Amino acid sequence: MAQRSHKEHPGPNRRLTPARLGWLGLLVVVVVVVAVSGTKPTPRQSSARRISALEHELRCPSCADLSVADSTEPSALAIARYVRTQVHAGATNHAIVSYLETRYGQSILMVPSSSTGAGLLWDAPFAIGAVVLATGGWLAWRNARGRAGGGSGQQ
Amino acid sequence: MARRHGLRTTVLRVALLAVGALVIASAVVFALQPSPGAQQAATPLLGHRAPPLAGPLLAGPALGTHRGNWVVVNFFASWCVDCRLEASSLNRFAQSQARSSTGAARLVMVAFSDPSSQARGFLRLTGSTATALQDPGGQTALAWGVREPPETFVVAPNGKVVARFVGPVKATQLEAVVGSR
Repeated sequence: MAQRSHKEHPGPNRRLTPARLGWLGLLVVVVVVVAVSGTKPTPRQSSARRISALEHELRCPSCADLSVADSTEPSALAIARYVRTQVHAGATNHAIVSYLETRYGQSILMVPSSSTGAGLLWDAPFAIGAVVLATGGWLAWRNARGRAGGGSGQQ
Repeated sequence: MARRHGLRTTVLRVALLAVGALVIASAVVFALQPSPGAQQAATPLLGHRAPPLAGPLLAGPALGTHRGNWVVVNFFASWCVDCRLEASSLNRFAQSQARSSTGAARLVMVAFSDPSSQARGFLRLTGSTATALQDPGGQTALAWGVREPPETFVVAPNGKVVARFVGPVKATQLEAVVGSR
């Protein structure tokens, strides 16, 4: 009896049929969509992050060394208001920062942007050092080669 | 013993008197020091077209009446001590310019982070008759790159910014800029 019952109810079929494959594919798609929509910021979250990042990047004009985000000075509040309005109006970070630079100068940035001149100034010592080392190395190599050539010539 | 004690007391008194005299003398010298006045400061706006002036009128004649003139734009606040210090100088400058045959420069005052009632009170108290504007949200001050009041800009008749003063400005400093061009 028990044997018969076993035959009538066989174990689960683990074969991957096309229908099962279709369901599995759908499941994977749903999981991926849910995961991606969960991690990607909504436009509102993205704006808030941009505003916060810009406020930390900009210096309070009337403070010694505080960012706009950390200050309650009227000038900092005006800049925060300007940043908020511009971000919501669709302006790029570059446009917002550039406008403020034309009003307050480069000091409005917590970290001044690197200019070509400043870059040259910082890189010049390394470049000069590299040129000196290369020249020294070349001279030493030429001397050694000359000496070796002279030695072999004498022999 | 008593004689030595008396000597010590006398020396102490003389020392205390000397210190007191020194403190008083320093205070007198400090008080008599002439105010350094405003510093002429750089701004990216120098040589460029002045940003637009906008905002509700607080007092004085309408802004449009100043078109084509030299314009001195002063950012002030009722809570700013230096603004009180420079007020009489600004009034003197505005009056002397109004009396001049050419009517060279006009004064426009912009309230910096100040409620209109308090800004009006400040203008009344200081006897200002200049055009005064409110700056809701501080966006006019931002457009002019103002850090904190008082700041004063001189705009030429061609609309370009020619000078910026930070701190309490003097009539002579403004006259020097307006008169030199």
